[in-house]
Amino acid sequence: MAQLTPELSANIANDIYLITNQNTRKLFFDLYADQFAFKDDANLQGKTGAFILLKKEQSLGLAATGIKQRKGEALIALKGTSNGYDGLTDLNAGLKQFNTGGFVHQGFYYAFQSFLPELDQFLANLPPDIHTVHCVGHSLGGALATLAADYLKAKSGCAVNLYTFGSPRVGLSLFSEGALRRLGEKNIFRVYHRTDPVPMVPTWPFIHVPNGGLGDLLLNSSVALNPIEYHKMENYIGSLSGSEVKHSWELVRKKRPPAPITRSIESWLKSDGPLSLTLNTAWVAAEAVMWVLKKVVELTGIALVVGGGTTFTLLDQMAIFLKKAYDFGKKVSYWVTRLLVRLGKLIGITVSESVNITAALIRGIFIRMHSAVSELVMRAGRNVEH
Amino acid sequence: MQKVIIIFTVVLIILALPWPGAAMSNLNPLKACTFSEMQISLFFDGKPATGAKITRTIEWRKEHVDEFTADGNGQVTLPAEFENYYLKFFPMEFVSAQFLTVQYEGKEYEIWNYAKRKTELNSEMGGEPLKLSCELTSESITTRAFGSILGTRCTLPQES
Repeated sequence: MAQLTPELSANIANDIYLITNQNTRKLFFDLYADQFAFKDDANLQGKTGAFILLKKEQSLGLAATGIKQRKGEALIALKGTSNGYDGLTDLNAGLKQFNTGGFVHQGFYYAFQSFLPELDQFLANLPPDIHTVHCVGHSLGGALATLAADYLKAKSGCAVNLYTFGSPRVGLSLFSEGALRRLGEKNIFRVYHRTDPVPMVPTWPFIHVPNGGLGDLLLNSSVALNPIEYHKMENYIGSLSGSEVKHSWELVRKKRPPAPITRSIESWLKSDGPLSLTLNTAWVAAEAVMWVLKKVVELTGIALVVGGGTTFTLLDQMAIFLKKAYDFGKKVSYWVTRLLVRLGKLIGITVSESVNITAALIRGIFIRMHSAVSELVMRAGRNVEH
Repeated sequence: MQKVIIIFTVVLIILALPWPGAAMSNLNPLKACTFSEMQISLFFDGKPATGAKITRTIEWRKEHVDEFTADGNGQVTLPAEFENYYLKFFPMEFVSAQFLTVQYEGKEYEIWNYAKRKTELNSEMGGEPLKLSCELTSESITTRAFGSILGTRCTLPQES
């Protein structure tokens, strides 16, 4: 099936930033003119060509149909915006039920709804020979591409491929699982550097599409650069520029750096060694939270049903869930306690094994953890020099 | 404490001032170079385009337009441009849109359409100013260059 290569998808995610200015937008159109049909007309009503997807006065991306070797394909490319990051770390940020079901971050929801009429118009006018739609985006554009891909898959009979670079988490588990099921994991290419802070927010209960598996494409990043540098498209392009890797997603998968395997997460939870909060330990902690939640469901059969208006209320629900799990039996309570001990260590709180675990304590630790990771991520952003 | 605040404020003000010559954004985190210095030789049918008028439009956060005139040899130097850049959470991808047109003998020619993607001065040519040779009658070509896309009818020394 038709796929964009790592190199082409990364270049599109980078070049889509040029569409804001009308002269540089023409550069984008000229460079990709042999693959996609563009028409330099923001109010285009025709059956083919480019639709400029707008949010108020700001261009958020474009949609175009393929030509020549890309005949039968379509492209939706979305760019990030300069505002909206603050919302990713706001516990009071609201949740909205997305068109396909499941809750998503309200910031992404509203941005998506702002260009949905143009997207619907594009979809309605898609030539009948279109069989595959490619959705591409970086950063917040990656989050919007995720929503667009899920929406298009649910609304059209086309195969939809999703390519994101440094995307934040978009929605809760129901949305993430639904989008993964609809799109199929072999059609998702979620590329991220381990030390890129943006994919670390919003913190749990937001879950990536996908979180692990074929489409979870982790790239290595050294400690030489400021972490936020790894968020830039320039460095994503650099990481995918190997002479063979740039042509093959399979090779990108093979180059995946070793991730903490189950046994090492268990060891991390069991350990009593000192811990300090860094982007790396925050990443391991997030993996450990997911591991314990899965373990609890496996061992107890208690389902974590999440819903509500804000992340804040979700953390309440999770605290009640973990408290129930803690009370369920020794085996489960051990892992819940170890998780709280380790998270506590990261944020400078000593949780004794003998302490009475209450829902309030669990909630308190998760809220402080959320704030600490958010502060860490924002600090990484502040340290950038340009 | 008051002393510290005053010193900090003074340092911020100094950093925000334009530094003639040394105002390189890679030395000053509060400046972004939106246009690197460019030395242009203009030709029409192989002869120097004496007196040609160059209009430069730069757009990053706001639009900046200025005009220059080529000398008797058809040569002109466009100085570097900088804009204040205050640190923000998660800065956007940097895109400075650059557009140069030349008015010569009653006709207008687009000679440079480019999106600068790095904030450093002379980021395009590894620290050297851009030196262009532009034949106004030649075709404009769009190509991938300097980690971005460039549309130009000029040749760079390395390319010729």
